[in-house]
Amino acid sequence: MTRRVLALMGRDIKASLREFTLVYGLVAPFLVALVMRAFIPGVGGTSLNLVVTQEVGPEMIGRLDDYARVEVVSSREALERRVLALDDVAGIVPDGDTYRVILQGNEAHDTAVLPGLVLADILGPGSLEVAREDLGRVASPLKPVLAILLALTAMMIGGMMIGFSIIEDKETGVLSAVAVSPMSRFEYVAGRSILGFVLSVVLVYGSLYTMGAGPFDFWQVLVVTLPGTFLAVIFGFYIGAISENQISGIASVKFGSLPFLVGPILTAVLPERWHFTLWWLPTYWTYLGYREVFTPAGALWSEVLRLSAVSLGVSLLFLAASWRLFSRRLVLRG
Amino acid sequence: MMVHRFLTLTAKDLRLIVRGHMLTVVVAVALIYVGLVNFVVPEDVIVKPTVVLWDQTTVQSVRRLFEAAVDGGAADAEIILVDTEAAFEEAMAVHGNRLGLRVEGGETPERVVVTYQGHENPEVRRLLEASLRQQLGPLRGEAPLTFATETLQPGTAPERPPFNLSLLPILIFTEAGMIGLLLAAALFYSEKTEGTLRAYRVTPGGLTEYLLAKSVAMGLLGLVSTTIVTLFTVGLDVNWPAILGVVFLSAVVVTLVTLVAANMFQTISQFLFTGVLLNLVLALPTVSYFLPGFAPVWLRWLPTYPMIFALREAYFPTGAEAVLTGAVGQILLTLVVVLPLAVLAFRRRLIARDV
Amino acid sequence: MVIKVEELYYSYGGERNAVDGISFEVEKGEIFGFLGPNGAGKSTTQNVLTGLLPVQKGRVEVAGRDMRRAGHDLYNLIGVSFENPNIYLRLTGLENLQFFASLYDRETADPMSLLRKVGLEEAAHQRVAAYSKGMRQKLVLARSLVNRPEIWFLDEPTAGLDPTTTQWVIDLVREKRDEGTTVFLTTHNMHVADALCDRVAFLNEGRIVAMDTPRNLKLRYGEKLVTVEHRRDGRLEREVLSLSDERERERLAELVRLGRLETIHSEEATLEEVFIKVTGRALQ
Repeated sequence: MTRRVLALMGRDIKASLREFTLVYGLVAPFLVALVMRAFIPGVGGTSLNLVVTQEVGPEMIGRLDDYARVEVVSSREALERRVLALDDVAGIVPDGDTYRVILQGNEAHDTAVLPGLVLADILGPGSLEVAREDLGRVASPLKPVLAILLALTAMMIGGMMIGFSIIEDKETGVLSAVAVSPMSRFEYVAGRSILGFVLSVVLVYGSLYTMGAGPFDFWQVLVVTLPGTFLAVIFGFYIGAISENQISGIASVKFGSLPFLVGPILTAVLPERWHFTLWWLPTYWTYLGYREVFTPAGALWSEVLRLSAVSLGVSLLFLAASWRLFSRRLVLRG
Repeated sequence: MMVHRFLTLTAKDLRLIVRGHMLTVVVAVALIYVGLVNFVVPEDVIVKPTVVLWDQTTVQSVRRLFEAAVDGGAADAEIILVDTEAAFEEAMAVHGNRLGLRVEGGETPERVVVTYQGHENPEVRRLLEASLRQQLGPLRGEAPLTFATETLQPGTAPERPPFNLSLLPILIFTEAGMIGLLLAAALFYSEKTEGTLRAYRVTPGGLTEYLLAKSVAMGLLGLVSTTIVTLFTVGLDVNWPAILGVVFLSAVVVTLVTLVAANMFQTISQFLFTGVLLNLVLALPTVSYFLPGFAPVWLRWLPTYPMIFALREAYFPTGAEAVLTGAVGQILLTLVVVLPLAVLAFRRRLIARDV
Repeated sequence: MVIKVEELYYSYGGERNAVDGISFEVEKGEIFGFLGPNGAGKSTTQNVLTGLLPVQKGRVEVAGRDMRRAGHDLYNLIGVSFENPNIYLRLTGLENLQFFASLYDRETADPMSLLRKVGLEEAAHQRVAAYSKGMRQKLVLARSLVNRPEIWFLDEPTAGLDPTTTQWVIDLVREKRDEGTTVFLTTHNMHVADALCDRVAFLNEGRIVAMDTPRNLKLRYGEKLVTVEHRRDGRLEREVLSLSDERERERLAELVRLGRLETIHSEEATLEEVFIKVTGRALQ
């Protein structure tokens, strides 16, 4: 049995390497992680965008630059065009010996109010002394959220690979060829799953390290990742079992990925008191598990284990609920 | 004849989509979104930073100022009031988006020590400190400086929609506007595998009709999703022509971009990961939607950037019609550029590999 | 000439050219066969003729159009039947034909009539996924006729088909030829080539090694043999005698003179035997 399972895994690896599928699969999440890594500082670093005319003068422009991202344009007309663009940008122009704020009218509250505040700070008496202290927590609060979403996406990709491999077996008739071999359904499932499992775990770690999501405990990440990966494998078999071809495969992905990704997004966005609506989603518990792992003060093992156990339990319930579907739709023989 | 071929190709693609159960899934997902927006996501989600305030002045004027703001519902932050160093440090020890303020002075505030987490950048810190000086200045007898404001389009001040409804432009954009992202690739790869693309190549049909037909089919599917979600969440009282028009055009553009990317790979498994990456990049403008101040130049150049803001204006009009027309113009321009590029890319690759 | 090929070369980038300087012409109304083993360059040549591959070197004219510059309207005049059935599995047979018919700029055959002709009328509303291999091949042939082509390209039209269906295909091709359609046929099945082709070209390793009518090729390269059965001492004996050999001619004459012949059959060489003789290798 082991020989057949390993043979199937070997075939998958060989085919994936030849088609560069594995290469793309390993590379893309890292690219995603790099994009996020480059992106996050920009997101955290912006509150206000200003556009000024050259008449404002270099000294004032330099002072404004301490508070906001400043664009300099050559004319009032160019300034107005910029203010009227889709994003929120406020304009500042000289107005006699003072300044005037130019707005479109539909800016968010901060963009409407902050330019005046900035001017007042620059030009006003500013006698109140303000000193700074820094707790040294340099990690952006956005980073853990994105890291978790990236990890879940990496897992989902592993599951999708399994699913589309099964669809390919169906479309090419290979499944029939397997059916007339001694391979049992269990061996087929195991052979397909193990590679997806391993790939998902590798992708999760690779993505997290590439994104710079650390520091985190390696073993705690593993404990949280394994139930999530188990769910990803179920997801993959769900795609492969119910889809006859690539188009219905995409339909399955579309439907099946909802709990995978919408769940965690809602977890991040919804206040705590609404979280009970998400308890039925395994990825909710996986999200909480990762959030615990990425806690800057350090994660508690008891919490990590508890959340992972619940995630695994809910995943098993999912599996139990879909077992009949798998049994009927993924039939090797008779 | 080209028009006739285009219509036939579109009809064929729609038929394949329906028989692949994609329409069923689109309708199901749309109904799920309706359920989420109407019954799960709350109308009011207040995500405010937390300020830990320790007013050490003798008259506690800053504390009273902040309390009055909280009581009046005008506070921009959650306020935690402390009286001792220990309480201050304990409150600041909790990780999160917390800012510490220690106000020192006698009868008036003389000095404020701001305790930052550490990730706040210099601009954000200066804005915070400017805000503090503005708020506390009157307590020191300083008259606030004001500046004239000129509004180019008066009467376009946005009315903030409830949080659950404010998600609509994002949901519609990601679900309907980007609907072609994986599906169009799947259609293309199916035809490669079946060999029907090859069969098409030995007919008078051209690549322009072929690509446009897939894009239009995706656009129509996007309209189905949009109609269901919009009708059952905000009803009829929205700018329907604008919403449907933007969604349709967005889906067409995104599909063309997807097909160009898909054309570079042999199978859907190879394309999957690039598809995810493409999905991420094209969806980045959603960040600008939630953080209006975040709009670097490279982000504004993404073809999906105007789509989201056009949808926002269409769902929650501010009277800034130019936003809509400008965005639609940008999308059309993108289409005019992307379509010939897609045809060229396809022609080179199909012939080189005899697909 | 409806097809004119001069010094055509094609390379996929390997050491050897897939098509290595071939020239030939096909007359209107002719059934022209390209015969050769797998990898000889038959499909590559056909793909260049149908525009699926570009003309790298040489000159190719189809229906009077230079293939380096031929526009899409050429496809109104040609029909192509592929070796591997390439039809929409999730559409019905009728929907497939209706779809492809709508792509042409000229009047097309009625899809239902075509299905009737190929014996798929009853399955017209079934999805192609349910069709057998033979049914799919018939549908592909029907599709390639939907635009009433002047030039009909057939790539291994009988591959994997049972003898009855094979004969049906042969009959259909003859019918089309009689209607004036020019047929360009690639195959490694010498029986089909022999039955159908007005002229064949033997292709081996990218080159045409022989080109003529099947009869002339067999006469030129084949050996003239006679198989006789006669009785000797009450036992039926069989001998194969070559008419090219003087002693065996005398033997035949002797058997005729003795009156002991029970059966006599002349045997021509098959195209396969001719191919082996010309190239030193088998067709399959």
